[in-house]
Amino acid sequence: MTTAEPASFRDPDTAVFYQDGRVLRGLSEQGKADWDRLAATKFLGELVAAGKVVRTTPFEGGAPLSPRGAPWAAVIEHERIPVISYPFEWPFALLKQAAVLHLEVLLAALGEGISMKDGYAYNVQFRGVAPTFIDLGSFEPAKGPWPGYRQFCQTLLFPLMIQAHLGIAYQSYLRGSVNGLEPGDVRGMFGGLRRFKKGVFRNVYLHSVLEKKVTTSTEQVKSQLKQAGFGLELAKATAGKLLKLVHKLDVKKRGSTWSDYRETCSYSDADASAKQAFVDGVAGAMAPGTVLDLGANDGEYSLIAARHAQQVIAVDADEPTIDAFARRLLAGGPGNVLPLVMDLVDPSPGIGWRNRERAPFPERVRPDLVFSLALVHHLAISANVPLPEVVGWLRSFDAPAVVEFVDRDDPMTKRLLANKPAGLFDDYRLDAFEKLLGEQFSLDKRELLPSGTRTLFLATPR
Amino acid sequence: MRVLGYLDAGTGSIVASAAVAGFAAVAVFFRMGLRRVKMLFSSKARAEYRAEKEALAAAEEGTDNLADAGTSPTT
Repeated sequence: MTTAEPASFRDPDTAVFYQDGRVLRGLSEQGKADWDRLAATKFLGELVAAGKVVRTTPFEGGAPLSPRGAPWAAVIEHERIPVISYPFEWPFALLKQAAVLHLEVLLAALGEGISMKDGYAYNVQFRGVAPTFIDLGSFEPAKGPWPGYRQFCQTLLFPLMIQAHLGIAYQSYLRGSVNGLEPGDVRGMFGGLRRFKKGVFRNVYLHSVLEKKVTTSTEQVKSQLKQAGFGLELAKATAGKLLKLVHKLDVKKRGSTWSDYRETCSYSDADASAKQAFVDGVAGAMAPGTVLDLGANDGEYSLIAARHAQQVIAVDADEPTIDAFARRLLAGGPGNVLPLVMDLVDPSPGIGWRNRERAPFPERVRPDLVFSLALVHHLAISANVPLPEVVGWLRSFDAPAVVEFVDRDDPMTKRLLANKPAGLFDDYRLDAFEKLLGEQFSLDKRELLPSGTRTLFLATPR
Repeated sequence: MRVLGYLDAGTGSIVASAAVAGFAAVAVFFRMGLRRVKMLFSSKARAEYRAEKEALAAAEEGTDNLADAGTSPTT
């Protein structure tokens, strides 16, 4: 069975498709020539060995025609990335990792006379918190300025800049457009003296002015630059300066509602250790492939799962908390946990061409075990999602789930209920929830935590 | 792509990338500016500019919008 990768259609010289679970890339004559040149370089082997570029080998076997109806000149195979995530789901620390990696790969390539056609954030994927460059079709002989500069700005540099300089979260902008932020729009954010913040004048202000002023065609400008003697060195200098700039960008220390949750929540130590033991027991017995930790907060339970699972996807809506977790992992956590920013009540949709270019979250993450710890009361009470809906949503992952129900006598639930009109959530009760859950799952384990207000279930889909 | 229509929005970006590099490549841009000044005084410069513009228009005819909309190849 062969399916085309919906995001891989723009470059006539290469396209990615899937065949029996394998990731293949077709190459035109031109694409093959570029690949042969690339395969003979020294940097490619080094970057692959370091995990910075996805491992790629020649593929011998039948392959379908290209989307344009011609046979491919060659087919290569990429190692599969377990879970595909997108830039608008990455916290600051990970988007920065992606930007640094993109530039490092470009600089290494330029060192051997090879450049890249683009500078797209989606060229990078994560295994745990380690970035990997996946777009092997992007490499071409270097001809002058880096054609990917604009895309790099729009999908990597500008998002990092608005977060670092202005404290504006970039996630919704990147999610709003697969092309990222336009120079003109970013210029509007950096009014007055803000335009003198690091990197802004050239990359944003001058960029947007030149975009409007330069009306010569791209090819003409390229040839003028070439005539003026600017070749490979120009691309190298651009990439080098960008790398220096990206390294300097960082967020100021941030607090949020959730970042100090562990210190301020009403957990008793007894509850915490009982919960840890329950999670550890379930994950240990199951040895799952992928664990999806919904509402992961600081990742305490993701880290427990990471001891037993192949990989853990930790999702939470609170960017500062997920960013802090990512930094902990980068500083020396297990290599199989990927923290992502996403509001569970408003999850990542399908975007781009025909709404299929970038897939919705549930199509990319197929868990073998789901955690819903201290989450249901937020969905049901803060976000007004009816309990049957919450249970139906948990069932939609089609995997066993560890579910915690925080009853209405719990101090945290009381705080949530205090914000709502009396009587609105009378059906929010343990017995009602347990009945709903039992209709769609078999409840294999049930444990009341020592506080008496929190109950854990191991629920297996019926 | 906005007001630029059939022109590739990446053109200004290429000059900007040269500016980022810290190269005097912006000189190319200024050379273009200089030509505008020359055109005020020289009919030869004006004729050259018109000829180039016509050649460009001819080259772009038949190129469809999408091919020039600044969409770079990706994965």
